[in-house]
Amino acid sequence: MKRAWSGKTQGGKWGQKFVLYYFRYGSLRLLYLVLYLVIPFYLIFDRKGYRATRWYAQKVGNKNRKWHLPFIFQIYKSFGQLFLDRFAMLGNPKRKFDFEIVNQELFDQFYHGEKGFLLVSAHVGNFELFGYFIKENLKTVHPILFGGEAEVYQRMRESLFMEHQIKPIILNPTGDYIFEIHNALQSGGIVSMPADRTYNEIKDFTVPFLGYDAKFPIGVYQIAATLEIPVLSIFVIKTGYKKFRVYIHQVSDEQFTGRKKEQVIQMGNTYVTQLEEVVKQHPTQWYNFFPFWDQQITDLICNGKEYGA
Amino acid sequence: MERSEIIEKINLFLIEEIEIEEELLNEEALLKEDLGIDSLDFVDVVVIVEREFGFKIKPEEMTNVKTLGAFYDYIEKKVNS
Repeated sequence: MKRAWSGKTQGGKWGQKFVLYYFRYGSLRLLYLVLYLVIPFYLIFDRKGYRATRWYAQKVGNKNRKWHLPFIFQIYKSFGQLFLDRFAMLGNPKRKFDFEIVNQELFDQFYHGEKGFLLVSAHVGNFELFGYFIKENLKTVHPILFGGEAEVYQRMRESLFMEHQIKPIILNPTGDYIFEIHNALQSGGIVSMPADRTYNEIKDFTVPFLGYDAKFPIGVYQIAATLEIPVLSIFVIKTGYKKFRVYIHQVSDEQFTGRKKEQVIQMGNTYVTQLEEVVKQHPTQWYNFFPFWDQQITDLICNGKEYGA
Repeated sequence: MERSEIIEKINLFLIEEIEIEEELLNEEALLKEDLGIDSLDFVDVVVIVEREFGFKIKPEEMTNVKTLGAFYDYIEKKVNS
């Protein structure tokens, strides 16, 4: 059984249009309340996601069974709020959100430098909001998006990103994006991407994560080592209503010494350690609704409830 | 630059950096299917070509370059033009 993420963000075209229109004037809190009605349906009908999340709750979370369902509910609620927060920003860019930045000076140091850098994140918290706390327009930010992402959402993001000097790079089958990434970094831009999901046949490495072996993509560190580009990690965590805390850490600096292969693995391990720390602190903001760990895949098959059945 | 010199440089890079086995390197080898050069490896290819041969690869020029031999031809043509 393979990992199940398809590279597509869920969401229908008309539903997204409606939500975006709603947020021009509508209340965010009201839709937060609607989530309480929607989540039970997700728990019942999204069996794949539920099984994967239940394994996460059982193995990584609290061992007390009574705690599992509220924990899973909280994950779905946070996930729903994540989308609503994004759409609230897209639908009405004037809406105010507060960002508390941890290690702002580290980000500024690289942001004010001449060199481009890589910004890696994960499907934890609301990583796509990171661009909004950048107040100056010194560097162009190039978020890497999957071409399969819902069309309307992608188009809306592009139009909003333009105002923030953000130009997305779309991953396409032709591989042209590699040239775009290369050019973006060489011209001093920031390339950002989540680095926690393996997708199709992309290269990965296995590393313990929250107690179990998991596969993480390695390509981003290959790019960094090849181009001798520094890497920062960034995690945008929801801490309250319209409030986020942005964790910024250094994954590698500009001093690349030793063998490339070792540098790449070292960067990968550093990133996973930083991610692990954030997920431990905010376990209900981890959104990977498919078998993520090697052991998780094995368990879901051995239990006679094959994932996807 | 002589073709043999180009081949030597490219092969050395493919063996040392991309870790492709030497015996797989022949002119008919398909870059993707036979040699397993994926899009990420191409970042290395772009950088090494720029460093060793002094020009930047343009993506549109690579669309018909499917085999290692065609890649040697492409480099040779660009270097000697």
